[in-house]
Amino acid sequence: MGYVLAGFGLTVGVLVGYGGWVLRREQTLGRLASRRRTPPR
Amino acid sequence: MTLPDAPVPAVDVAGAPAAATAASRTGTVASLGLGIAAWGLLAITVGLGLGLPQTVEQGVYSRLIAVHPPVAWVAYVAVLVTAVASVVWLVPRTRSVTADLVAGASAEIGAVFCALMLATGSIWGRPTWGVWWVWDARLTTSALLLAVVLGYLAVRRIPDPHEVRARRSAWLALAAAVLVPVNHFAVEWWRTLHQGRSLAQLTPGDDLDGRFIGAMLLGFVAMTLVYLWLLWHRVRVERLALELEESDLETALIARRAEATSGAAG
Repeated sequence: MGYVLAGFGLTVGVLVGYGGWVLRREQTLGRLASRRRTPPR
Repeated sequence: MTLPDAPVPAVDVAGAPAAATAASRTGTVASLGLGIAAWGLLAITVGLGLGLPQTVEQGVYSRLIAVHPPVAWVAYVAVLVTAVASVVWLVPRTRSVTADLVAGASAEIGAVFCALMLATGSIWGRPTWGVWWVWDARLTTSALLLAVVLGYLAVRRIPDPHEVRARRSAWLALAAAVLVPVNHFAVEWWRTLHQGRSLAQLTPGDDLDGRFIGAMLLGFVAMTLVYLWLLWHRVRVERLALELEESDLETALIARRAEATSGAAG
């Protein structure tokens, strides 16, 4: 059963981890781009 | 489904809490719905997969059918989407920045799924074949596919003008796409340890338990939706990165012009 749990766990873990990383990167770059687009007061 | 074309909406006050909140939003109602459907179906797939009965031939290890073939399917889809988007970019009449961004985003997701395909296959192979790895045609072409996709991602990161970079990587994407059918039909073209194509082996008179087929098919749907959700957000990341890169270049050019002007005046 250990191999089965490893297979399922690895798949879900990698996908959730990668998805979280993509969302975080999108937020960071979104904030940066937003600041650049706004002209300084 | 349409891919996110528009940049993140501009906000009026830099640094204000409202601006930060607006800029940090990561999607729309559609992408949120897609995300809930994708991750929800993935959770159901995992639940169904872990609850599958033991088989005479493989015992509990047959349960991996709920994740391994679906992961392999998405690896293929991602590489083929990269190739199609690359063709769209290479043809002058259909060329668009979005096509190149989709190609790059899909390739990265493809690399993740390709690595998962090899890892879950290896985990399945160890208890059933007795080895983690064997150099048979299916496994070798899978490893080759991952290597080519990683090469593609490396080529995309060579610092060059966007158009040069996009053209170069588009040709490499076509080479990667050739490997997909070779990998898929490897089990028929060569004598391999890997079993034949899962879906092609199903016949009307097959006595395979319907729960296995159901879990596998649900896995295909769930993984495809997860791929689409990842692609949606990854394309936005690519677009924002390109926007920042162009903004950096513009800032550098303005600084250089100002330097030249002040030099000439002095």
